[in-house]
Amino acid sequence: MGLLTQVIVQIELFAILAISLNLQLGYSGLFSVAQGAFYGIGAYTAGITAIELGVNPFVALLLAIVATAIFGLIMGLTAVRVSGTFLVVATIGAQVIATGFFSNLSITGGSDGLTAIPYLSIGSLVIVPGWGFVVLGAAFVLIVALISWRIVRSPVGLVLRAMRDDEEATNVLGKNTGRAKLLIFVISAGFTGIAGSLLGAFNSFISPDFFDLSTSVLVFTIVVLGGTGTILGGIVGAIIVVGLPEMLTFLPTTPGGGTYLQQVIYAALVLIFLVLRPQGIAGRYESVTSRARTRKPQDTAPEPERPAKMTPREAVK
Amino acid sequence: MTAFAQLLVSGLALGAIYALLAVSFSLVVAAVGVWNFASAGVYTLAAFVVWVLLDHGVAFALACVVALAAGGLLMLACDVLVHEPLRRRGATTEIVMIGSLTLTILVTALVGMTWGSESHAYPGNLLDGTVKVGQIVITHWHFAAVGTGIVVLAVLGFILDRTHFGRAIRSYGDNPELTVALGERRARPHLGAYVLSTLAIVPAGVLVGIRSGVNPDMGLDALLLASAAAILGGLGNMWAAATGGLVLGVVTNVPLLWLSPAWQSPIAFGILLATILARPQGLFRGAVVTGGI
Repeated sequence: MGLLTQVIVQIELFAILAISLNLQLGYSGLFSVAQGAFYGIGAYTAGITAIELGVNPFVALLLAIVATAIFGLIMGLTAVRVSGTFLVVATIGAQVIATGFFSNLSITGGSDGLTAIPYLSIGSLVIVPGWGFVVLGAAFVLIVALISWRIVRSPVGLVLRAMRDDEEATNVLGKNTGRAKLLIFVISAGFTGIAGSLLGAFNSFISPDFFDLSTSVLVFTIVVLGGTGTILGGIVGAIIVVGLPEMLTFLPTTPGGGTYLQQVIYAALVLIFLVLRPQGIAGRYESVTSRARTRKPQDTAPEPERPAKMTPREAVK
Repeated sequence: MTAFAQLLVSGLALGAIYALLAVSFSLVVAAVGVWNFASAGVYTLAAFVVWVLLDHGVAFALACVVALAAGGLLMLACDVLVHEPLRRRGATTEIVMIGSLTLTILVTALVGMTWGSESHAYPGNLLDGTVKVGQIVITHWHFAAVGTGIVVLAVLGFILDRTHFGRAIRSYGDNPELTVALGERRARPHLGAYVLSTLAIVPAGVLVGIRSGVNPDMGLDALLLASAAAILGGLGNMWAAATGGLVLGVVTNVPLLWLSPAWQSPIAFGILLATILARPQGLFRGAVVTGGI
């Protein structure tokens, strides 16, 4: 298993995770720090069903999608019920609970993790970790990207972007933001499930610390640096955040936290980007990070003559 | 029965620490409207500072004073360097939150880079003595934890209730523009909230350091519990946050009768999730902080 294929597959997996987070964050303005948890649910579902029930790994992948979609639905229901900062805290809570379950249940192998996850195979053709897997991974990235692209351009996508910019106004206009939120959570969770089962099939070993809070933060870093609100941003971000340190040989031992120096660099970069260039490198929508109601002076047409008396409505504009 | 009482004792001590964490967190949320995740970095730094100084033979009391100063400086730096610039740029509350979280990761990683990822225990056997009440063993540390909690809360309560400084902070939290318009300079209540918050969180860090040693990750775990406790009690009210912490400490400790300690965190967060879903204003009807404060 060459190092290069390892790096590329990691980039592909994190690209999928980043695209799915971008659907929630960049396009819909929903803050979730639970990517690691969903990644893990997908990976463990695929791994456990493949090992314990002996199903075909592709079927396991489908089961993983279903499982993560269900949890995505639960998270979506939470998002409908609570907003903004509470949602972030709730997702952090969900993330920690998930890590707790991954580490303490015997069926997940506990903190030792799950080993001997079978490779993906179609009949007698086994897709071993290597360039074959790289191609498969790329195919999935493309599928995920295409589906996301279609969603964003669909009527639902418009509702989501409107919701991101001003949820109340969107509701007042009669658009069902609740349904849109549920939909986007289910879909992005499903994508994460794909990534999770691919990880298991590639690595044949998964452990709880692949899916903890630091992984969620890493995906966040990728989205912030690579670009919020675009699909390309997720891919660019993954290449930079995952690929660059590998090429600079700061090898992280687990796909997650990395060394302390890495964390310092990433954290500093994220802070700099948040303050100076919130749309990331390839991103477009600044409104994710700043209040949409902030109107720039040039947006308001100059009034030639203001009437002497202002109505109350104008006074509070 | 004895096991239950024993767990109750340690639960109360743990609850005192959670209460300090929750109060520290809730103070800044109420006064400034920022989910001050960066306080986890202050917590970790303070605990490490005391460890380093003790290791070099500095007296415990002096070490604590230095830790308070260092913690306070870091806390203020967080606001001046990250929270305020983001807010001035018009960042949403969630983004400031994420910025704060990132800052704590930065500080934690710097600490880890400097002193490694292993746990370090404080030299000397501080607070090791025990007292037996019937069958129950209460260590001096238990007393110290509860005692510190009571003292800090009393001091903070006094400041917030009886001093101009404290009342300005509360007023600022309620209505910043009006407070400034009435003649209060913005910096004092704004930064003052952070300073008071430091007074609560540094003792918590030092107490935990004495009990379990220090390691770079201690801050993040504590922080999540702090927010859980603050939300459980109800944001915006110091006593509510403290009660939330106490309740959380006891409720996560007593199940150790039946479950392994590894389940403590999941239980705490299960409670957090239930609170957010069912009663976001917490037990005592704190302010419900929605996005866009």
